[in-house]
Amino acid sequence: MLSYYIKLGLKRLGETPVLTLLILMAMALGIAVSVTMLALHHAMAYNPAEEKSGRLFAVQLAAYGNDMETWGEEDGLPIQVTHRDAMNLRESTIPLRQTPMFRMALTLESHRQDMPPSADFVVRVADRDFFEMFGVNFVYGGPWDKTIDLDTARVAVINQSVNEYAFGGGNNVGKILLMNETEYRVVGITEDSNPLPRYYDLTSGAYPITPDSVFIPYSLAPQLESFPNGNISGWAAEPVNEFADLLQTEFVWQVYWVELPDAQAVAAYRDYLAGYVDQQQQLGRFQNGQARGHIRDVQQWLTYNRVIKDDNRVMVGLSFMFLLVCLVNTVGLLLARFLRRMNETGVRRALGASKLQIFQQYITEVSLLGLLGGGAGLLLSMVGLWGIRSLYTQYATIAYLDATMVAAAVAISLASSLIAGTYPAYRVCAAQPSLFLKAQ
Amino acid sequence: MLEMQSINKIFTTDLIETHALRDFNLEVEEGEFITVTGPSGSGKTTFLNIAGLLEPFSSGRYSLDGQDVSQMSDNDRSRLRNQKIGFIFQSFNLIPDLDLFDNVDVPLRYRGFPAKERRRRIMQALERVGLAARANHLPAQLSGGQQQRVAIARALAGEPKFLLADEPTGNLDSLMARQVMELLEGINREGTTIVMVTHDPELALRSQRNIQIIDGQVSDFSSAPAAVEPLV
Amino acid sequence: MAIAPIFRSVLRSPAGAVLISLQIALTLAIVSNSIFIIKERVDKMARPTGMPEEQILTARVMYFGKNIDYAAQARRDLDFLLQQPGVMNATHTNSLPLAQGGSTSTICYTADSRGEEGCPYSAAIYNGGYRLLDTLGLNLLEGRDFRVEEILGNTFGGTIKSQLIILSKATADKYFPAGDALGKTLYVAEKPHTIIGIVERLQSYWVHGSEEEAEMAGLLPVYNHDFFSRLVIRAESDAIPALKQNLERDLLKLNDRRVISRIHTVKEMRDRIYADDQAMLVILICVIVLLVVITGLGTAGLVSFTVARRQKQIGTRRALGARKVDILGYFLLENGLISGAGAALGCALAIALNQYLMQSYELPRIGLEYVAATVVLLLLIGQSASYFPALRASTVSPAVATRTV
Repeated sequence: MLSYYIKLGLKRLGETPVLTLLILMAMALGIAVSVTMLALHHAMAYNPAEEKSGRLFAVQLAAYGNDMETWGEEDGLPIQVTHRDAMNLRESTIPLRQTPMFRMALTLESHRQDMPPSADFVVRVADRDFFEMFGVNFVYGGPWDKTIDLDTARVAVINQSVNEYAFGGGNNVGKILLMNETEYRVVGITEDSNPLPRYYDLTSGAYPITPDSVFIPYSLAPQLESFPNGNISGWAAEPVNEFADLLQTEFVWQVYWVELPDAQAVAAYRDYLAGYVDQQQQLGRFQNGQARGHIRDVQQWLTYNRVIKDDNRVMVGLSFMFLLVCLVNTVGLLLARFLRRMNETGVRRALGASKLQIFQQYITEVSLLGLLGGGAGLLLSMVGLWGIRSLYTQYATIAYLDATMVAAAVAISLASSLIAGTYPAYRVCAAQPSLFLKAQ
Repeated sequence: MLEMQSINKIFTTDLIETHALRDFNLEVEEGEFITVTGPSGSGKTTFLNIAGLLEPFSSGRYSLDGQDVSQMSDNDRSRLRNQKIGFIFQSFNLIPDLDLFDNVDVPLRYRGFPAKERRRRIMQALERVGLAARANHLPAQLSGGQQQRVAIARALAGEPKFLLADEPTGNLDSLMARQVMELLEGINREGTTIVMVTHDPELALRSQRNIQIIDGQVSDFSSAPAAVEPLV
Repeated sequence: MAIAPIFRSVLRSPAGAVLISLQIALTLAIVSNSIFIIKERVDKMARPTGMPEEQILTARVMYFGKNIDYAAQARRDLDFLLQQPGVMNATHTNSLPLAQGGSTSTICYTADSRGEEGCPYSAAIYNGGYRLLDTLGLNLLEGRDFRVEEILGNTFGGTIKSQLIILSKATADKYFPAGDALGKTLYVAEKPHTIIGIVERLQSYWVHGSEEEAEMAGLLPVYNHDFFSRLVIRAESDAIPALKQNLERDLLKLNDRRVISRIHTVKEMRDRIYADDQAMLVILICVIVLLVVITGLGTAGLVSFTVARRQKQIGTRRALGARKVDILGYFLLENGLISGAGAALGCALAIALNQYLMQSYELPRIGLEYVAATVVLLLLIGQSASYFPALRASTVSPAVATRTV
């Protein structure tokens, strides 16, 4: 019977074209608007760490004093750590891998004739483990040697964009990169990657437009001369005249990550942090009401840092209310469409169709409309996402439909058509057929 | 074939109760051709709708071809309608956007015949009414008489034992009306029981038996109707 | 025309009417709240900076050369710039309104104040030389500007050695509601700062907080000489385009061991900092337009259907003496009643939605005028959507009534 219903449904698409068009438009717009907003939300909620998400942990310390009640986030923990604490945490042997990190704005010079100096590349300062922890893929060379994390050397890992800018592309491992008139030896060249949200460092916005392009060893920190390019927060006034002073302060300005492969390591590291806080309190630091250490895995970190803005939540909510209006609209139009055919329905009933068969016939027709409307809605949501990309430069690389969203769109359109179609189809099949056989 | 005992049908609207049928009794033998007459609003159509299982009745007993239909579910009543009853209406009630073939196909679809069997029956039924050549035409391309013949073909395709006709000639001129009538008489001769509601005293006279419904009750079993209202 | 018969007729087959009013109600809730959010954003984006905005040009200066005397180079730059046609003043600062990044300090009543009582507010702190107040074009209400000899050298955070501060009036009033802030002392970074001037308005570099937070700002007499600084130029507005075009080239001529970038007018800074608000605005406007279109067309479709179904009834009315205008009026009134019922429900929904938004997203309470305006808008749309189907109804011939079948 299904094929018969589909045949009838297809035949009726062209009937009352204006009404059909109104129904399709309402469905398509409802689906387009909700899928657009849902796709944006879905892209923003993406966890780029994927399967490593549960192994990587951001470390937080309530590293403030003066007997302050609370400082930092609502739970009394700052999202960044001090340089001193980062240096101390690096001593622990519990994590499989670990790295502190911060961002710099340094000026690069190109070996190419026509290229002016550029301050547009983001320089990230981190330990060697960074590359493995955050899945950076190398095209040429590799990370610097582990010994450099302790002994330091002026080396750099660059991405393809910088490789292009500085050298014109190709394998330039071993060549010299000039930053702030200082020479760095290139040891590795990575693919351009711009994971969004930038889960490992959310302090400069979760969706930065510029990718991390140059990586230099954290062990170089004492030798750097210019200030970091990120958030620096302090709970007490401390004199800082140059960068070296910053390293000695209680200001927090670095993010610290550890990789803990199993529950045992997690428990051990928690113990270690508790011990560290105790030890620092003995030394007179961490004098506050919240003194503690805390770790959060990537997903918890993204939620904790509220990477999805209120605006986006409001828009998703509004878009589903919009869909609801479209559905109510569609119910009315479908009712009109079906009631026009009461005579035919009466004939079918007289000729032996049961209520259930009539219901199935109309639900099939509604599903066909839903699929068509959903298809149109999917195309329109691509237009919608194009609009989103041009409105929000920070989402320009992520606001696309992926397979999940296409599946979601199909599911939403089928569900909406069933919801919208049930009442009209019920009304029609429940009506007394004899009432509609007399009048033409 | 059809047996109605003390059928009552009461419509309740806006606090007023209307008895459409009251204590209605009727028995129709297999192979009979019965005409039903009566003034407007007397309950003819209600009777036909109940007889055709299109409407429930308030009380009484009704059995069709030996089966008691009073307690049947919608599904069973639909199946019974589909297999044993054929309908012909005054306004033909063809589905306008389906061609003749698909119109005749409608009851067969609900019967669940395979495609080949449906095709055979459709073409046979259309041939029976002389319209096989126009199977792919739309109803609107046909004259009124032709449309009614398609409706008869549709009613016949399922080979029902029982044909219900509601003023089948009411919308036709006299020539076409006669053709349709002759067709129905032919069908009846082949063994199909026919109950036909009509306003036309001439047609009523041609039938084997005429019953008259007045105020929801069978008033007269005489084969010749005494008084009939004029044709509209 | 009597309302009662229309009412009864609607009640007899309520499905269509219920659907239209439900749609109107939901649309009302969404549209009124969206308009309200739009108004909030428009107000936010219109908040003044306190600067003569058409006269301001800013650029980022980043040195990469070693052994550069930043202070000397800064003086050379300013000497050059001040000679340019149309330039009124210029200086270097760490930040300025709309810059998105900058320095914020908690300001306390006493050196050892703690918590909400003693240190109730934070303010954006702009460090700059004695030219800053004039370059930003701030309107000094009371007191005076910094003097040349009061300007201190470079300090990170800028708050360590200074003893003087100029505050925006909003900031001064927060600490001294009596309006007698001038000459009083407040503590910035645990050091006493005397309020020597009060400017009418000075916006924070961070604008996404509340209106009150955005007004919290002050100036410190600290001149930034660092590898990074922000250049601010105030010039006649018609001189700005030429200045903007030549700035990078001219400054690099004076010293090319630096990168001059992000050369922006205030309009460009506004576009950048308010980009998300702008986007929200565009999206909400799209949602409103689409909703109104869908509701309008849906209403028109349902009224057309009702008219088609009641052909005979209309014909009968006409045959019984109803004029065309009566039929038109009947359908318009019917729609008015249905929409009115929807609007009544919609008002409740709108306020409920606003309540939810207030709780979850810190949105203020919706003004009833937004709901009222949306009611009027939707009633008008309902009426215009029913007008054409109703007009068609009025042209139904009375002869329809006499036709049988």
